[in-house]
Amino acid sequence: MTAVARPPATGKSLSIENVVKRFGDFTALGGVSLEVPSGEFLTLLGPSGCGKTTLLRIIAGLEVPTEGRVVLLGQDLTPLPANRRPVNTVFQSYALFPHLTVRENIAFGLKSRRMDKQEVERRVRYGLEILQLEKFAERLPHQLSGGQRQRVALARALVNEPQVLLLDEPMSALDAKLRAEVQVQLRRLQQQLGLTFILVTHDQDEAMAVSDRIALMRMGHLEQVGTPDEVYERPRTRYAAEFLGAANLIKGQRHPMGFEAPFGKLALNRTPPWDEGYVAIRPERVRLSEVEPRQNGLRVRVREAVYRGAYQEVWLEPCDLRVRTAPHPTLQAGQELWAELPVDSLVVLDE
Amino acid sequence: MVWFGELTTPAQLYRRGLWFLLPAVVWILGLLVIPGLSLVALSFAERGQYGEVVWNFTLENYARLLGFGLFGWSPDTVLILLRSLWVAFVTTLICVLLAYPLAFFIASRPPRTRYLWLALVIIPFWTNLVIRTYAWQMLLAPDFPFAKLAQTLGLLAPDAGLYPSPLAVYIGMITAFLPFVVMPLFSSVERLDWSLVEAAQDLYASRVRTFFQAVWPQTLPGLTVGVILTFIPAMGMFVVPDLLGGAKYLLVGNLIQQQFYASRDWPYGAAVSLGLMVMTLVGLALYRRRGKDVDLV
Amino acid sequence: MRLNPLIGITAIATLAFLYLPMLAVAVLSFNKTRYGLTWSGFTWDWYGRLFSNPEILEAARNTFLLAALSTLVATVLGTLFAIALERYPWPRKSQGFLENILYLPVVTPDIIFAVALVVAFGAFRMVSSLFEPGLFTMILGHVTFQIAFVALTVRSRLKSLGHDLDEAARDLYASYGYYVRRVLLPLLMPGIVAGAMLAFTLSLDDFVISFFTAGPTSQTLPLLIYASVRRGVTPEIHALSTLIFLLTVLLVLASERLTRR
Ligand SMILES: Nc1ncnc2c1ncn2[C@@H]1O[C@H](COP(=O)(O)OP(=O)(O)O)[C@@H](O)[C@H]1O
Ligand SMILES: [Mg+2]
Repeated sequence: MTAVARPPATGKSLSIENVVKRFGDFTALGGVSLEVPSGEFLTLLGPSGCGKTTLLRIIAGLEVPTEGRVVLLGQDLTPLPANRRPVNTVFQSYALFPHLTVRENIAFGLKSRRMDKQEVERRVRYGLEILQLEKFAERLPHQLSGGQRQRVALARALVNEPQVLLLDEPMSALDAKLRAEVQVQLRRLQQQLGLTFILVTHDQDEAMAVSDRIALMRMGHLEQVGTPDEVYERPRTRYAAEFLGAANLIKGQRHPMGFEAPFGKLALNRTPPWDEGYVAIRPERVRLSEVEPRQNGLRVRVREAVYRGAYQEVWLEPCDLRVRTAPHPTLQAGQELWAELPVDSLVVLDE
Repeated sequence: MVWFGELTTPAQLYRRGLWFLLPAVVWILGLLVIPGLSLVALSFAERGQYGEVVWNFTLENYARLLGFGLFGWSPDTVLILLRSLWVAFVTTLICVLLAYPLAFFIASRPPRTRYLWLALVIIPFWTNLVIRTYAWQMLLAPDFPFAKLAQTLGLLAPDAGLYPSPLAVYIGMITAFLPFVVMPLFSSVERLDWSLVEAAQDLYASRVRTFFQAVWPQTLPGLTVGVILTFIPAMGMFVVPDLLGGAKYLLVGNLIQQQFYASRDWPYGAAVSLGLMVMTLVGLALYRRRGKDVDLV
Repeated sequence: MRLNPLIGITAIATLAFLYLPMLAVAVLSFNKTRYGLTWSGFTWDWYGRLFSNPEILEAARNTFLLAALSTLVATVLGTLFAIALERYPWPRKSQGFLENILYLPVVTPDIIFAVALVVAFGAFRMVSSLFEPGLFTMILGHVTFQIAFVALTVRSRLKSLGHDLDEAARDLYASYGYYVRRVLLPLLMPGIVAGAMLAFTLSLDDFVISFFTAGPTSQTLPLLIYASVRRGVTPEIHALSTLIFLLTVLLVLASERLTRR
């Protein structure tokens, strides 16, 4: 393996076709379909228990889907056992072999395929190098820190040059500072190697920081799949809007010219598909001003203003909006002003 | 299905699993279960004139076990059964009383030396029981200081030894079983939640109440294992009463051994064995009811 | 934790009580007189005689042969049994039956075990003369109770291993054979060795089953000691007992070290 980048992402690589997984009466995955182009960094995001690990394990071959199939580069993986899939996993617990040294752990997947000695040697050296593990090569896993173990798990999977690398919450055992560092490294590594990564996490910041695309999951279904800014700026459902960062949800009825909320009429750039439903707006998209804006202006009173250093958080009445603005020294509770909800920033939610 | 990372089917797993399973199961069935069942069959047979087995169905062996002999009812065998129960009970009780201080003492050692102390308890128990028992024969002999002391104090006739005697049997039994109680008890004491003990000390002040309210319930799992590991084998013990008890202090174990050797009455021996097995199973069942999570090893 | 000094004193006294018999035997093994318990001078004589006593040497040979062979068989069977119990999805009912089979040798009092074997071997003899009392029947008896202890030791190790490493090995392209060789066996080895050690010491420690299944040519050390207790103990027997004690100390310490790993 060399550090030369692979050809850029072309076409589809992995496709998950209508995968259903039941455990007895319980449906952990209820028909998931997803296409992952090669070279993409995809994140499965969702709360704990929504089926992320189960989907990952089905791709790895550690679980059999009840229905559906997993196809990699045109080949149906479903009948293949885990040890014959060109896919590797970084387990949440890392699952390092406690009786093998770091070097032997990294060599495990190469030796089990009877790769010739020199090649094993070369790849192990490379794996130790890119994850800065040279100093620890002869140590046993229990002599390593959490961060080092995680890097060993990563190296052990990467040296196999898998078509797809699966990572199940690899950062959950690390402290916050280290986690941010590792996220950057992980992203860099993925771009450098040009491999397909599928990461599982329940941490939305992490998902935003590293992914090309995010697949948001909810109770065994895909809720929305898209680039981080699509999912963030244009959430399709209440669940998506609320799971990724704070959003203001406004309930109201459809109106010929747009939307009617209890506190006034708002123009939208899309006609809602429902009679009654929700629109969403991110707190940092609401604009405050002394003069009446041309469109979608609301007369509001400041209920509370909290200074947060880099920004200021403001709660408005009577529309119950939360706003994030640049710090504004004169803003005080009780003050009356105008709030503008720009048409482009108002997102109509499907349900 | 996927089983421990392997893509397989239950049928495949059963087929392979049987290779792992059968050797041991066949062995135990052939050399423990079938022999056990033949023991049951034997207990309903008769002894021939020369000690051979005569396959006539009879309940006589069980009648004898309950004391009904040729000359009417005699308490001898019932006495032996009851004595075995009693000796097992007293042995267990004394072992428990000695094991608590020992377990607490070991648990209070610094972690570095703790397992050394525990090993000290285990080591004598791995030395053959026959050796330890004959050692007590010598220690309790008439011209050894212990007996001499008892003689001077007038507790013992001059030139008499402390064995054979019930006392000697108890000493031998405790030597044999004490580690069986100490080890599981220690593992409970080691995990003791001391905050509960401190709270109890605040509440009750008295040591006795603290012990029974806060310590005892927490050590119950270990204690239960220890009691089972002592009580059951103590009932069937044969070496200790044989070497230290003398002819007048027989236990069930000796009675069984006699039937298979000196008296050559196998059917009766089988019936006595089954009597012992029943006592064992009753004892086990009683304890199973008390603690579901009893782990024997 | 602060202890009442009384507890410490009781504990030490109890330990002393456990060691008193061994101490007495060890001291007497260096005593010059052949008879009686009075001290009359130090000597290594009895140890020397021990090694020129053919009866004792023969018994020692039998003891170790018995322990080694039975341990070997029991370790293989017990390990396989543990894997079968822990790594195969038996239906609930069969699993319950297997657990009972596993615990049966542990809860059966050894004397019942022994007489059952006497009866069974009596019946088997009608088929084959292999079952004449002797080393072979003793091995059969010992293996039967050793299996359970090996299986329990190995099984607790298997339980603590969990699924993760198996899945990781599979994920890293290991075939079943490669996984067994490179992952399962190495990880299980401390448990297997500890189980074998336990089985070995149990065999050395056993008296009752040997007593009932032994034949005229398969005298072992415990049987020899028992027989000589009936005849009258000689200082050679003290010397022998002391050596056995020292040997078990070594074995226990070694197995303790292995299981602590
Ligand atoms: N082997 C299993 N048997 C039964 N239920 C399972 C099994 N594995 C997972 N589940 C259930 O499936 C759901 C999804 O699990 P998982 O994929 O681990 O969630 P996530 O990784 O998103 O937290 C959970 O409710 C879990 O209890
Ligand atoms: Mg998970």
